[in-house]
Order: sequence, then C-alpha cells, then structure tokens
Amino acid sequence: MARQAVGRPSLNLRRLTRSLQRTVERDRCPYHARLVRVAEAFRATENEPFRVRRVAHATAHVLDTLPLRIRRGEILVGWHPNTAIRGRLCRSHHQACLYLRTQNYWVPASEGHCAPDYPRLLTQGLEAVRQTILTRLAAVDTLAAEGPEQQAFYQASLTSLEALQRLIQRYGDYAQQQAEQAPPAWAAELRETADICHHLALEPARTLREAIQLAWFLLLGLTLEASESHHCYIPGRMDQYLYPFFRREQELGVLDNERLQILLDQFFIKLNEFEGPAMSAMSLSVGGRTAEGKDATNELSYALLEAGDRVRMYFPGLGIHWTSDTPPELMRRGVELLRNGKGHPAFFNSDLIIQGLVRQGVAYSDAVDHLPSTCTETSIQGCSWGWVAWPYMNLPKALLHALFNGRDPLSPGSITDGPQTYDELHTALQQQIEATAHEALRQGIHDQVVAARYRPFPLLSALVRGCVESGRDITSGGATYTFLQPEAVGVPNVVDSMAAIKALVAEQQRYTLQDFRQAVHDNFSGHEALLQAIQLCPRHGQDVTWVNTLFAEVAGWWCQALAGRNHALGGPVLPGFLGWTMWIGMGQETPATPDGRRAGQPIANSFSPTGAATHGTPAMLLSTTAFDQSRGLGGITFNVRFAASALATDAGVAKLQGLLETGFDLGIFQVQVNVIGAEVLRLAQLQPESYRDLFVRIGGYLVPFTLLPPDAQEEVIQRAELPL
Amino acid sequence: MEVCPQQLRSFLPLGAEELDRDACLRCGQCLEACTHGALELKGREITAGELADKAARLIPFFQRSGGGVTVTGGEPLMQAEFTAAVLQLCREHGIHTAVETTGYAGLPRLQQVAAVTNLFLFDLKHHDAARHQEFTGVPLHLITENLQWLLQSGAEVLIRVPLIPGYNGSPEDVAGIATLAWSLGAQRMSLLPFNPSTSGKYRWLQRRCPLDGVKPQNAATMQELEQTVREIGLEVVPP
Repeated sequence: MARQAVGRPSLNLRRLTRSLQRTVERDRCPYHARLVRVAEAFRATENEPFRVRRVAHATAHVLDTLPLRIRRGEILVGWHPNTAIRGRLCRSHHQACLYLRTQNYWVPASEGHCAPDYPRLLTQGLEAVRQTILTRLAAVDTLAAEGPEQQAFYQASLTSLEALQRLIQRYGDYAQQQAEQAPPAWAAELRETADICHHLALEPARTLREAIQLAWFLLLGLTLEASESHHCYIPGRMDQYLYPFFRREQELGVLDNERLQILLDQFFIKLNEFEGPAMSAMSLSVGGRTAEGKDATNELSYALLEAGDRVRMYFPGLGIHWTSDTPPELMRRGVELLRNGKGHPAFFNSDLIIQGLVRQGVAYSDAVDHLPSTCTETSIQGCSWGWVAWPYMNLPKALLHALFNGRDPLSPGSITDGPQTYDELHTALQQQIEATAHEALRQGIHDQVVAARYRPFPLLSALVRGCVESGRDITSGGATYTFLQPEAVGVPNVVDSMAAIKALVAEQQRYTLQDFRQAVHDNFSGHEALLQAIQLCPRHGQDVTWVNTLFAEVAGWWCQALAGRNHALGGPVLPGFLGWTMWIGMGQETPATPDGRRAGQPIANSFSPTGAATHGTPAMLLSTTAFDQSRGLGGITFNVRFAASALATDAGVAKLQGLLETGFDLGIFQVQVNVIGAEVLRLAQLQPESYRDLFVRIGGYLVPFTLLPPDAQEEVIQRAELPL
Repeated sequence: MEVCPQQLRSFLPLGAEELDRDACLRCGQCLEACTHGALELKGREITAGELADKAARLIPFFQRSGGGVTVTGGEPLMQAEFTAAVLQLCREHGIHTAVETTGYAGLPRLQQVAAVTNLFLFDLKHHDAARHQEFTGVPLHLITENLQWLLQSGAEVLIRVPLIPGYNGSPEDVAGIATLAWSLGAQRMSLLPFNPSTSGKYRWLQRRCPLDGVKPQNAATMQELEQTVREIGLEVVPP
C-alpha cells in the first residue's frame, strides 16, 4: 500500500525520537500501581477456585485500567507506565503487597526469560488465536478428570487475550482523540497510528511498521501480566520475523528506510522504559541459521546493529549468532560496535548450541531459534519455558564438603578426618558434585510444582506454541519445550584447588591434605608458605594439559549427574555454568578454598580463570574449550577485556574478530567483550596485580597497562574518557 | 638471604644495582621463601620439542590470523641451535616461522637459523658507524654484512627501526638508515615508535630507565618519517 509522500506535512521524527530517548532515560521507573490493580482483582476473586482464572482476571484489570500515553513523535505506541511509590500510592502499594503475600502471589520461581511466537502471531493476528482458543474451549471433555483444569485454562487465556486486544483497541481510540487536537503534521501520524492499532487488535500485520508495532504490544502485554518490570521477556530474532515484511516492501518499492530506522530506534528506546532488575537483559539476536540450515543474515541484521549503535541504551542486549556460514562482514560490524563502550553485542556459537539442543531431542527447525534467555541460558523462540539459572549451586562448597568429610570447615579445633590422599579426595569430590546436582534437581522440581500451583501465565500461554494445543498453562509444562537449567558456580576454584593438591600433596609430597584442611580452617593465616606454593602451581586457564583434563572431568561430573534426567514438567534438564552475579554473593559465604582464595572473596565467574598470572587469551580459550561446551546449554560465559583504543583501527577490529572466530572454531559457547573505560583503568592503577592481563593501545603498541609509567597511564585514561 | 646458595642479597632500594645477577643460579629458592610475592622468575627451561608442541596448540589461531611463530629475545642467534631446532619442528607442523634479530652474531649462526625461517624482522638502529658503536656498544659492519648475506640469499626480510628520540629519531637519521638499508638490497621497512612500557621492565630489575618520561612520537611525526622512507624507495610496513 503505497502512501503519498508528496504533500505530507513535515515533522522532524529523528529529533523527536532523540527527545523521546531523553524522556525515557529521565522517567523510567517500575509501574508500581500495577500491584494495586492486581490486589484489587484478587480481592474480587477470592471465591474463584482456579488460580489461573484469578490471574487472568487480574491481568484484564491491569490492562483495562492502564494509563495511556502517546508522546509527540512516538510512531511506535504503547507506554509502559511508570509510577514511583509516593504519597497515597505508597500506602496502597504496601497494603497490596501484604495482601498478595497472603495469596502466595510470589513464589520462588524462574519466570519470563522467553519470547512469544512472533512469526506466527504477526502473520495470523490475535483474533485467529482467540478463535482457536474458543474452539478448543468448546471441545474440552468436561467429563474427563483434566476437563475442569483445561476449561479454566482456556477461559483464562481467553480473558487475558481479549484484554490485550481491548488495550490495543483503546490505543487506537486514544490516538484518534489526540489527532483531533493535534497540529496537522502530528495529527496525520496519529490518525495512521489509530488505523494501525484498530487493525492490529484483531488482524495480522500488513506492513513492516505494523509488524514492529504488534511485536511491541505483545512484549508490553506480557510484561504487564507478569510484573512491574520487564521480566526478561525477549524481543528475539527480529531480523528473522520482520524480514518477510521488509522484503515485501522492498519488492514493491515502498520501503521507507528512514521510517524503519525511526521505528527500530523507538523500539530500542521503549525497551528501556521497563525498569529492570540489575544485571538483567532483554535479548535481541541477529544472524544464526534458518530452519533449513542456511545462513540467516539479512539486511535487517545490520539495520538492528545500527539501531543499537545509534541508541546506545542499556537494553536490548544485542547478540550475534555466529555460525560457520556467518558472513565475516556481520562479525566485523559487531566488533566495531564494541567501540561505543556499551559492551554490545555478545557473540554466541549458534552451531554449537544447535548441535547441543538437537542432542537433547529438540527438532532442528526449532533448535535454530535458540535465544539467550538473558545472559546465555537457553530458550527457544516462541515455544519454550526455560526455568533458567534454577537453582545456582556452589561447587567450591561441594569441594569443602568432600575435603572435610561433611563437617563445617570452620568448626573449632582441628579437623582430622576426611580424605587422606589425593585419590580419596578425587573420589569424594565426584560424589559431592553428584549429590549437589541431585539437590539442584530436587529443589528445581519442588519449585516447579509450587509455581504451577500459584503462578500461571495464561496470556503468555496463549502466545507460546504448545499450550493452547495441549490445554495446559505454560507453568504446568504446556509449551512445546520446557527445560530446567541448574547452574554450577565456581568450577575454576575447584579445578585450581585440586590441581594444587595434586601437585603439592600427591606429586611433590611437600604438604599433606591435613595441611590444606588446617589452612582453610585458618583462612591461610599463618600458612603463607603454603599459599605461596599454591600460587606457583599450574591453574585452569594456563593451557596446561593435565589441568585441562581435570577441568573437563569436573565440569563433566556436573553434566553427567543431570544427563537424561527429567524435571517436574516433563522436559530435559540442561546443566549450565553461569555465574551471573551469584559468584560474588556465594563467595561471601564460602570459607577459604584450597586454590588460595580467602574466605569471603568472590568465587570464579563461569569458566573464567582466577588468579593473577596471565598466560594470554589464547591459552584461556584453549583451556576453557577442553570441555565440550555443547553439554552446558544452561549457559557458559567467557569474558575478554579489551581497551576501546585497541579497537580504534581496522587492524584492531580484525584481531578481535579473528580471536572470537577462533574461539568458536575451538568450541566456545559464548564470548562477551568488556570494553574498558577510565574507571577500570583507574582501578588497574591502584591494584596492578589484578590487572596484568589488561592491554591498551599506545604509540602503536598493544602493551600491558600496568607496565606503563604513570604519565603514560594518565594519557591512556584521558583518551579512554573520550568517545570513539 | 639465608636460602640463597650464592648468598646474594635481594632487598634493595629502587635504583641500586648491587645484585650480582650473573651469579644467580635461578634455582628459585628465594621465590618460595618470599611469601609477599616480591620476587618473580621470568622464564623457565624448556626443550625444543615442548616449545614446538605449545606452538602447535595455537595453530587454530594462526589459521584465522594468518600468523605464526616469531622467535624474539634477547637475541635468538645467541641460542642459534635451539632456535633452529624449534623452528624446524614448527615448520613440520605447517606453521609460518619468523625471527626478530639484531643481526649481531657470527654468520654461521645466522645461516643455521635462516635455513628454517620464513621471515626475518631485522633491526637496524643507525647508519653511522661511530654513532652506532656509541649507542649500542657494538660495531655496525658485522650487522650490515650479515644483512647483506641474508638479502642476497633471497630471504624475506623486513627491516625494523626502533625510533628512540634523541638517538636515531631525527628525519636525517631515518633518511640515513633507510638509504643504508636500500643500498644493501632491502625492500621493506617498519618504523617503530618509542615504546613507553620499557620503564616497567626496568623497574622489575630495580633499575631506573634512562628513557623514563620520553613520549612516543605522534601520528603526524610518524607519517612524515614514513614518507621520507618511501621517497628513498622502500615500502613502508605499519608496525
């Protein structure tokens, strides 16, 4: 449908978009009033026996009472309201919290971390989904035992979905109203918005703009069903599901690139209206493979990266899905983007992840749609429920358990029972890791059962493949794929500890296991000689063959203990090694460990090597890939530190690109690049021993920052403060 | 120090040069004794085979980067037999081999290493024999004779000139060095700006770096100097 460009009144949408960005940055805040609405609805449904219907009723109430706003220049509409807790809201919010607690509204659970079935929803429209649910509802066998539950579920999805449709309709009405008072140029836009919203309340998207708009409404609706923040819902493979619309407009000659950029920018900006928890993400992926296994990169892949480079806000978390067929151009563009210092994109080994998923029984055509659910855990777009990073388990504690025969390392007096030889410890460690894995599974299963009881998501279930087909809410395992992804934290500490003990106790026979026990008990105070000897032992990350083997063994025990296991919702367990921020908190409550780590210090983050001695990034990559990372679909991260200045030249970009691609060749799961700025450099000045691997570019050289004289360091810091 | 078999002292203020490093056996006992990590032993003993095996681990990286193994120093020709052995093994793995050298060694050593080297990164620090002797402590002619042999043997050579302000960094010096290189048959040259991280290494040895506070040349200066080199007829390769 070609629009008349001639005679259209002008409106500077680019300028207005930048102004929108500033507004969003200034105003972002959770939608606290939502909880008050939920409590109102729950109070009104106290006699409702089916939880899923109560939740749907609450969702409908939230959506029906949602304040609307369209800011000047906003051609992508749907405001996530922000209401700071102030004045009267403070009291009512507090009361809502207290009441909902009595209703078990919050239970410990992994929620969100998934994407709705964008491709199907954009091309079929919401009314088609509603009709399907109606049909299913009518067909429920109310004489069967599962009948009532299914009926309640369908009714709840219907209630929720209709509420979303009403919201979209209301936005259409609202835009219409606003148009009546707006100046001509803006009024024209608003009328177009009104038309689009009225259409999308029922029908599939007709244009690229409508596709982006509907995707946004879905994300907004899901968030409002779940919580006051983004709940880690995922924009997903936008370059794939928007592409048919893009292509059609291209072929018809009506593609408006300027407008596309503005729509993408506004989408990115609006993702930041959700005040999310710290260190969370909403992932947006480009590249990867098509369902037929071909390279999926297209023009939108690049357009989305460009949008990220223009907007430069915290969300979305951009990810490039690398395959052996990914054009080098896409990788190069991704690496160049790192110059802006935002740390986007992260890079994922799509071939490895697809391989791992297929081994777990996922169909190939679904496996290609894998998404990092926030950092790196696994989700499959449109058809999965992840239970990601659930639970986190402290592996160094498992080691201490083995070393101290189950007793508290800090109990008074000297502890003499426990393994006496390295081999005994090795056996005990394997047993403890297996026990830890089983405990993780036990906890996960328990939490899944409780969550199914109290925390259904009927709107999400209407929008994710499998639930409507099976008549089960997503939290009861309705989706096509449901996973449980427990994470083992601190593997490098365990490996380094065992390596030190092997070297010093078994081989050199200079110390005994009792010495290690005593040193741990004493937090190494009075054991400086042992500590020094430990520092000189080989560690994980140095590419020492026997340590690599040990590492693969320890990581393998965790995976093996969970292999072939199912969780409560009828799907496979995907073990992972993600640390997120847990490695800090867990470290605080972990006593000293035999790798020389003192009590309270952080434990290792994912597979990242610890310790000051650096043997370079290639050695770290070779070490970390000694373990088959496709077994760790629960997530594995790898951090590379690079100074922004090192990426200033094409040669620098090419070097990092080569390094990343080699990492993928070797089988690494994911790489994230920390582009360091002035703050890190200042820290490096104060603690050079912790920053020996920090390389910066000066005078044409890549040199260790800590080797520079103070005035040269200052110069580097000055340069780091300037944007590239 | 009680543990040192040579009875060497090691607690010295910065700047003092009393430690007799030549007498050090590198046994590492002082390292273990110092629990504050003040001492560090750089380097260790390794066989040519072990080293080549380590290099072979990096082949996946070389495949992407088009790189290979570069033996540097110190002066690789001081351990010509070992260098040649390592590079021979690397070549057997299909790895490209390079050597960074000052060229200051007897010709037979150079020949031994040249047989297994794909690329030489050959330092040339000054064109004037007297200044060369003064700044480096060794005569120029031995180096230029070796360079001439190397070029005539058909080896691939990249001349490298580390530019030290006040020593060889002036446009006249650079022109002189480039002319000398060209006259010997060299075709490619890199000009290396001053590397300020040298100070850090001097600190390890508890010595003051005579070039502390010297800044690297800026991009404009480097471009002018590189243009001078091009005008003399050499191809300039970025460092």
